[in-house]
This record gives sequence, C-alpha cells and structure tokens, in this order.
Amino acid sequence: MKNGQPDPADKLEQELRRGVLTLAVLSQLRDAQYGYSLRQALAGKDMPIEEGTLYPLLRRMEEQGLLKSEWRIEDGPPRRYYVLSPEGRKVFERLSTNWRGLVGTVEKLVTEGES
Amino acid sequence: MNAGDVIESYVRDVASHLPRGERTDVAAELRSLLTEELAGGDADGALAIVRRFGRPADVAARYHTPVAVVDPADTRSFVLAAVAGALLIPSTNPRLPFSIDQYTASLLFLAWLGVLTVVFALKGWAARRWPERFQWKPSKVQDYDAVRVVEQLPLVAILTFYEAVYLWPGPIIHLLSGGHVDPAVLTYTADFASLLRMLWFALFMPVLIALEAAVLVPGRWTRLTRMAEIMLFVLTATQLGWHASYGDIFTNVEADRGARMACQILGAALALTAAYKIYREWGRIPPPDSTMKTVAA
Repeated sequence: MKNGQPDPADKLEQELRRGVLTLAVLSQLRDAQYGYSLRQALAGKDMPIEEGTLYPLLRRMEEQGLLKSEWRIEDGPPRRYYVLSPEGRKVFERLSTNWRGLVGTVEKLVTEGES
Repeated sequence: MNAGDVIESYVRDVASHLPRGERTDVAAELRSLLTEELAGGDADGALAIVRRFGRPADVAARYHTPVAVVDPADTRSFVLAAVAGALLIPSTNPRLPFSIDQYTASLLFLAWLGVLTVVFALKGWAARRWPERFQWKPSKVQDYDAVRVVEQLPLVAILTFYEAVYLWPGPIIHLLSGGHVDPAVLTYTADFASLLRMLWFALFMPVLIALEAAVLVPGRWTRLTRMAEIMLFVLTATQLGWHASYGDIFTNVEADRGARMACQILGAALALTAAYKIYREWGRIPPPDSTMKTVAA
C-alpha cells in the first residue's frame, strides 16, 4: 500500500494469477475434490488461492458446465465434491495447449525485455 | 456470540444477496467450507476468516453476477441527465413570476430520477437482450469551433432586437403591434430606469452582440472568444434573473408582469445555454491538429 492506495504491482500480479486460475482448478479436478481440499492441494503446489475467490469460482464453473458436483457424506460433515465434466475435460485440453503456446511466447518476450 | 453464530450470521448475509433458487445450496456449502476453514477456532478466529472472505455483498456477486439497474457504463450519462433535469425544474424563488414551492420542486426531481431509473434500466435490459441492435454507430463529427453564418446572423439579429426592445420598449412594441399597444403603457418605473438597475444589461448585451458579430470575420471560435461568450451569457442571464425577481419594471401592472415573465424565460434560456457551454468546454476534446501540437510541445 502506498499512501492508502494499493500497490499497482500487487494488483497486476493478482490479475496475472486470476487469468490462470481456471486452468489451475481444472488441472486438479480429474478426481473429485471439495473446496477446502482443493484449496489445500493448490496451496501445497505453490498456487495459494483466497477462499473468497476459489469457492465462488467452483460454482461459476459448474454453471458453465465445466464441472459436475454432488454432496457426499464421508468421514466428516456433508461436503460438496466437484469433478471435471466431459465438457470440462475438453476445455482443459484446449486451455492446456493454449497455455503451453502462451508460456513459450511470453517467455521469449520477457527474455527480450530483460536483455 | 460463538464461532458458529459468526459463521451462520455471515452465511445468511451472503445468501440474502443471492437469487432465491441458489440460496439454500450456496448457504449449505459456504457453511461447510467456513467451518472447515475454522478448524475448531473461536469467535475471533471465525471473524478473521469471514472478513478475509470479503463483504457479503461482494462475495455474493462472485457467486452470481448481480443485475445492475443502471449499467456501470451508463452511470455518467445517468448523473448528467439527472443534473440536466434538476436545472430545468422551475425556481422556488417566490418573487419570480414563474415559481413553484419547495415540495413540488422536490417531487418533480424525485419523479425525474424515477423516470430516468426506469428508462436506463430498460435500456440496459434491451442492450443485454439484443446486443446487435446496440452496436456503436459512427455519428457526424461536429466542428464546434466553426462559425456557421446561417446560425450566427439570426443570433446577432435576435440579440440586437432584444437590446432595442430593452432600450425603447414603448415605441418598438407600439410599432410591432400595429399601433394596438399604447407606448405609454410600457413606461419604465423611475427605480428601474435608474443607472443601478437598467444600465448593466444594456451594457452587457452590446458587448455580446459585438462578440457574436466579430467571430464571423475569422470564422472560428477561439478559447478566448468562447470564454468571453460564456461570461457574457452568465452576466446577462444574472441581470435578467435579477430584473424578474426584484422590484417593478413597468408602471403598468400587467405590462410589468409580462416583462418579468419575459425576463425570467429569456434569463433561464441564457443560463441553460451558458451551463451547456460550460459543460462542453469542461469536457472539450481538442481537434486532431491541436492534439498533435500539444503532444509535440
């Protein structure tokens, strides 16, 4: 924070992470997970996501048809589990391809910018 | 209040901002997730978690994009239309010939805001429903600094007419009415004819007329002439407003009422024109040539 205003670099970093959030979530949902366990899994892989961002995102992705969900009672309270839908699998494959291309391109640009 | 109460209160606040159909399900999931995040903590821990989660209305907006009555992109137009409407509401000054009471003025303004809200809400709905019909279309680019002779000459003539009527109301109205109006009816009161009251408009108007005529020569308005015009519009409008609200103008009661009405209407027209010109000047986008000059400088 500078003079009560958020640091522009922080905001840009947040936007950058937000852009890849959907792909990160899709990548972790081949097997069903509930919100809290998914957040822990992502944090464990150096991709911490605020709970206030992740949980609503899961619902929106379900509305978009990318995820399926169901309530389960296993070893604890009832939890809503999310897993990729067939449409979600296709989108994940497509986004993964785009991501790899994008990483290569941006990496070249960043390297040029640094040199 | 224990930790469970804090979470329950938060969950209910979030759910209350959601569509009815989603409330129960989202509330159940959110309750379960927050309880898991809390991991047996106390009320302070629960408060810290829900505060990190965000304001209930913001969180609800992440679950379900709320429909805005007025689209954020239209907010500026909405505010401008509201202000323009407020300027058109008649004055509440009881000394003016046309005036309304404070209650009616407030009611008119609230009604105007209501109409605007409905119109903007319908526009937003229609734009979302039929986006192809609301695509941007190019409009004619107007050169506001160009002086158009066909508009400027009549303006000079009208202003000159006002000045003439102001200086010699009796003879001119007598002539225009074909002799039906007795010039004696249009005799100024001694108070109005004194230097303090009558003089200023009589002085400002010729300066305005000279300015409106002078810009015909270069054929373009400059920043100086635009500012001078706005200042003269404000000064003449103020004078007319003063005439309309302060003391008698003519010795004849009916002629006086008519004159004060005319002063109020003309003053209001000049004031609104000045307000429009100030707004245009404030939000002025320089033409391409001058922009390049500014950048180069």
